[in-house]
Amino acid sequence: VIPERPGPCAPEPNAPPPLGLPVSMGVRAALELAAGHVAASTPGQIWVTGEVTQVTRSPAGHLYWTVLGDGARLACSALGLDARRVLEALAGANVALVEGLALRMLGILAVYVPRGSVELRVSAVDPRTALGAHELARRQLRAALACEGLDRSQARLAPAPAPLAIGIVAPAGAGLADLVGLLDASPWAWSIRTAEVSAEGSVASARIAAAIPAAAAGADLVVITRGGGAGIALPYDAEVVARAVCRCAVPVVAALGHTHDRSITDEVAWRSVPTPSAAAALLCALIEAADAAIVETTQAIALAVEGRLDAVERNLDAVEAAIARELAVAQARAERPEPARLAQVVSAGSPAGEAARLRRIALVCALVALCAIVVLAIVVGLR
Amino acid sequence: VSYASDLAALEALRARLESDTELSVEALAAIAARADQLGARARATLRAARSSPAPSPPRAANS
Repeated sequence: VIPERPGPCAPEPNAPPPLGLPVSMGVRAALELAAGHVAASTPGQIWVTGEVTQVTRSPAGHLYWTVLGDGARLACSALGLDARRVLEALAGANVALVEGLALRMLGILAVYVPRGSVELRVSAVDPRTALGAHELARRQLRAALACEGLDRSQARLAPAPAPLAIGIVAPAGAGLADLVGLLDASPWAWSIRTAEVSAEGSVASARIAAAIPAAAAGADLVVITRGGGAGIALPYDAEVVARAVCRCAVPVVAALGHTHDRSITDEVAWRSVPTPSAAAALLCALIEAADAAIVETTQAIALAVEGRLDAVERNLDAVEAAIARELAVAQARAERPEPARLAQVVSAGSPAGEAARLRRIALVCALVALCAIVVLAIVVGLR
Repeated sequence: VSYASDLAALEALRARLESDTELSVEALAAIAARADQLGARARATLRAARSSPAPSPPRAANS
């Protein structure tokens, strides 16, 4: 048995034990001893970088998480104002303290006695480095698609005038049932082709990518959806799926059900909606718009024809009125003598007119008598 | 015959109405009747009842 020397939890009133012998102490005292050594041997604040996991927040507003790196893990905490400062710094960089985030933190190493663990008491973070490996991969993929001109290929597509032929890529489950059920309940004549593809497992993304062109064949529009649940958004961030969406010849609607994290599929799709129900509403709205276009066009034609016929009718009314006026004038003319004729009649009945007539008769008689005398003279002469 | 072709025919009728100002009454009446016919058929296309169930999913995608 190794002799002991008294420690803080087992005080011995006598003289201190000889140096080199073990000291007897309680758990808290041992940890407080360690805490003292840690505090004394670390150079104040230090920068530590690691990958965030196990984030929790207490009701009092304190933050606790763990960082991983180099095959080790380190508990971290930010208390009170420090917690608020950390969150504000990350929000300023448009990132959240979430699993997978690569974070550089400033703090002091300390022993948390109640748990017997060493932790980093964080007072600040460097938001410039706050980028998770997954997010980094997403950004690189986004940049690659943009460089190839694929990221806007879906946005440039126009849907069919009435996209009734729908291809659906989804795992079997509630999400698919919701979408198909809502479409079936609508008044529109959908032609639905479904490719049931699991969104879980290591080959999920490859299966989803292969199902997209299959669903698009003969379809006006493709819907990629899932049934919900956490942690299965990963296949929709896969490059192979994003490229299949970008290359799809018909518009793709992404309805992947996660409202906080937009996947690459959401970003490159023609439209992104949060849920299968929202996708059904979008499709129904497209057909309602098509129906309204028909109504609007037929009404416009009917109004135009009506306007033209009204114009013709107005012209006919005008012609009819003109004819009526002419008839009235003609009738009035028939019922009273024309002024010229009346003047002629009036002129023929006057004394001057009678004298002229008598002069014309006398002149004719004189000419006849002259002719008779000439004929008589000729006859006498011949005899 | 499809919704798109009916819509295109309606648009053509509309364009003819806007461009041709010398249409006779008979032509106007014919256009109105044709528009009614096309509109009714296009709307019926959107609402046509499904006569057969949706085709089975392409299992090849799952294999």
